[in-house]
Amino acid sequence: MHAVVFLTAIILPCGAVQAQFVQITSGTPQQLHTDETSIDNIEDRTDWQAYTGAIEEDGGTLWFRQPIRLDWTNPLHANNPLALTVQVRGLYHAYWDGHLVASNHHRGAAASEFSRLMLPVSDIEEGDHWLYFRIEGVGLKAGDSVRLGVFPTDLSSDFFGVHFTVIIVFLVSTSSLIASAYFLYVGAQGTRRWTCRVAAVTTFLAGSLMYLDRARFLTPYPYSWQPAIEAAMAAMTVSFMVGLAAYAALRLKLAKPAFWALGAFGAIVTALPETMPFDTDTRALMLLGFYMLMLCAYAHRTEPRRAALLAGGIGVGMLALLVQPDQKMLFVATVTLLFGIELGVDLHRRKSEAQRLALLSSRLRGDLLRQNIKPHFLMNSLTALMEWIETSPEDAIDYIDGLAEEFRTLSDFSGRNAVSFREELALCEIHLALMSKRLESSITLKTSNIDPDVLVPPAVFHTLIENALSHNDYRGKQVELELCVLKSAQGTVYEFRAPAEGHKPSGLNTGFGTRYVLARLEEFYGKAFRFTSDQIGSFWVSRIELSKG
Amino acid sequence: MAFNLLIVEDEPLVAKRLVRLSGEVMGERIASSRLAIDIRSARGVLADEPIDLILLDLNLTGKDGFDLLREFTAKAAHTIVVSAETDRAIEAFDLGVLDFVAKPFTRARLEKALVRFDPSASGGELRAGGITPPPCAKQVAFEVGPRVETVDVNDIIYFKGADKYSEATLKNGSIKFHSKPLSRLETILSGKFIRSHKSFLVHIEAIKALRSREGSRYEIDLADGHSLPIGRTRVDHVRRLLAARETAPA
Repeated sequence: MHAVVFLTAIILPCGAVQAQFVQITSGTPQQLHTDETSIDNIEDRTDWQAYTGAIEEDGGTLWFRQPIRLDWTNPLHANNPLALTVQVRGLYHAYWDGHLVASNHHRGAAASEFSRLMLPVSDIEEGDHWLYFRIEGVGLKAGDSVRLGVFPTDLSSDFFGVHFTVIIVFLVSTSSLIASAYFLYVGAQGTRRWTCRVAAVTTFLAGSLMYLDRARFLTPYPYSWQPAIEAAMAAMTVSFMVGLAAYAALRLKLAKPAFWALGAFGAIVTALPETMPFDTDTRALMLLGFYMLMLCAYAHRTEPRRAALLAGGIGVGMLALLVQPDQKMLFVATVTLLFGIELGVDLHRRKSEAQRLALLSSRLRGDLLRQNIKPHFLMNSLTALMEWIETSPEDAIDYIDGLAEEFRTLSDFSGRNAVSFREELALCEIHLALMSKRLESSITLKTSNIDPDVLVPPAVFHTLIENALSHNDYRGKQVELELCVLKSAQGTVYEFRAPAEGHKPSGLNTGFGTRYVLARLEEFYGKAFRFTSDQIGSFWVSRIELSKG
Repeated sequence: MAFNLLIVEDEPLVAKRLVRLSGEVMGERIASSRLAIDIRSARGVLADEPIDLILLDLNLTGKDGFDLLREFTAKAAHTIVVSAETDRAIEAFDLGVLDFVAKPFTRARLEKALVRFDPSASGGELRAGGITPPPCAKQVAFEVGPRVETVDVNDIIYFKGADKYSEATLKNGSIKFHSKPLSRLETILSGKFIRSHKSFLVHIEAIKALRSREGSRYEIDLADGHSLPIGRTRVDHVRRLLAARETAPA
C-alpha cells in the first residue's frame, strides 16, 4: 500500500516569505558525493558538480553548497538575525562560512522535510557568503532526490507558521480523540451501538494520524522507526477511509453498511493509476469523497438532514483538497469537524432526551401509583370491604392483606425503571386474586415461554391485565388470560390475550392505562418497540413487538 | 307509598351492598327491587317496568356514565348516583340527580339519599336535622324520540302537569314533554321554580306580576304574555318573591 502513504508531504510552506530587511542573491548551487564529514576537507575540493539533488547510492551522503550575497536594504535593521526554512529529505548539517550553524540531528527522512535554521547576527555581515549542507539520504534509494530547498523566512512565521498550525492540528486531533472516547462511551450505553463503535474507531484513527504526522515534525525519533511508522500510517489511512464510508452508511441508515464500507477499497484501488494530476493520497481521498457524496444522494430521501450534513462536511473537505492538494490534513480536519458537529448535535439531543426521560420517569412514577388508587379500583375495593366487614369479616381481612401487598409492590415498582418478569408476574397474580374475589370470579393468567429473569418495564403487563378487567365483564366467570413470549429472527414479541366478554370493549388504545404502557415502553425500549391492541376473534390481543438490536 | 327501585351497578359486592342496605332502610316501602349489571339490561327494565328510583353507578365496565346520566334523568324516575367519581358530582347535580353518594358509602349516607326520595322513611335524626333539597338542576333532559335533548332551565318558562307527565313551555314558544311528574321536577328544580298551582311549576324569573281576579282568584302574568292560575296558598309566597325582587339591587 505504498501508494497511500498518507500525510507524507508536509503541508506547511511555513512562511516562505521574503525577509524584508535583506536583499539576498545567490549563485549556482553545487553538489558533491562523498562521505567526508569535515567541512574543512570539503571547502578545498574542486570536483563540485551542478546540483541535481539525486544521491548516488542507497542512504548515501551528498554535500551541497551555494554562494549567497547579502545586501542591507535598511541598515537600521541589519542586526536582525536571518532565518531560513530548510526543506530536505534527510539528515543535514548546515554550515555558514565554514561554521556549523544548524542540524536536524536524527530526524527521519520523511519527518524532517522542513525545519528552521537561524543565522546568528554576528555571522550575517553584508557581502558574499557560502552556505553548505551535508545531507545523509537516510531511507532514500540511489537516484532519489533529497529535495533540498532553502527559503528566507520572516521570523514571525515561527509562531504564526509552524507552531500555530501545529497547535491547531493538535487541538483538532485531541478533539478527535475526545470524540472517539465519547462515542465509545455512548456505544457502551447500548445506544446505536454499531454506529458509535465505527465512529469511535474512525475518529480515533483521524486523531492518531494527525498526531503521528505532527509528532514527526516536532519530536526527534530514530531513523529505524520511519518505515514502521509509514506502514502503520498507511494501514491506518486505509482503515480510516473504510471507517468513514462505514460511518456514512450507518448514519444514513443504509441496509448492509459493511457492504457500502467496502466501497472505500474501490476508491483506493481506483486511485492507484495516475489518472489525475494529484498524488495518490489526494486521488484516493477525492474518490472517497465522491463515493460518500453518492451515498448521501442515495439516502437523501429517507435521511435528508443527515445526508445534507454529511454531504456538506465532505464537500468542504473535497474543496480544500482541490484548492491545495498537498494539504490532505485539511480533509481530515474537516471530517473531524464533521464528527464534532455530529457530536454536538448528538449531545444536545441526548441532553434534551435525558431531560425528557427524567420528566417522563418522574411522571410515570406518579402515574403508576395514581393508576392504582384511581376511584374505580380503590373506591370499589373499599365499598366491597365495607360490605365484607358487615357481612363476612374474614373475607375483608383476606382482601386487605392482598391489597396491602399490591400497594407495597407498586410502591416499590414506582421508583424503578425495570423489574424482572418474575416480579411483574407476582404483581399480576396478586391483582388477579384481588379482582377474582371482588368480581366473584376465577381469573387466572396462563404464561408460556417466559424467562423470569428478563427485565421489563414495571407494571406494564399488570396494566394490560387491569385494562382487560376494566373493559370486559368477567363477573362470576372462569376466565383465563394468556401471556406468551414469541421469539424470532426479527426480535421478541410479548403477546397478551384476554377474552372479549359481555360488552363490546371501547378499545384499549385510548385510556390512561394504555398511555402509561406506551410511556413505560418508550422509556425502557426507546423507539425499538411497537405496541398494538386489537380484537381478534373472541380475544383482545395486545402485542409488544421488540425489534432486535 | 311503595316504590320500584332499580340498581344499576356492575360490581357484584357493591350491588349486593346497595340491595341489602336499601332494603334495610326502606323496608316494605320498596315494592320491587331490580338489579341491572349493565346499561342494556337497565334500559330493558326501564322500558318494561314503572321504575321510581334509580341507583346508578357512573362507571360501568369502563364506560363514561354521563351520557347515560342524561338519558336516565330524562326518565320518569329519580336518579341517585352512586359513584367513586366525586369530582363530577356537581356535573351530575346540574343534570338533575336527586343525590350523589360517593363510594365507599355507609348505611347512614345511603339512607340520607333515600330519604330525599321518600321523606317518610326518615328516622328521628334525619327528621330533626331537616331534609335539604338537592341543588337546583341547571339543565333538564327531555326524551325526544330516540334522542335525548338537554335544555337550560333558564330557557323554560313553566311546566304544566299532565297526568303522570309534564309539559314544558320554553321561551322560544316550543313545548316539550318530560316523563317526570311535576312533583319530581319540583324536587330537582327547587330554588328556581315555584309550584304556583297543583298543575304548574313556574320559573321564578318568568313571573312579571300577580293579579287578582274576580271571585278571590289570582293569576300570575308571565314574561311571554301568558297568564297562569295561582293557588290561594301560594299567593303570599309569590307576593313576597315579587316584592323581594323589586327591592333587590339591579
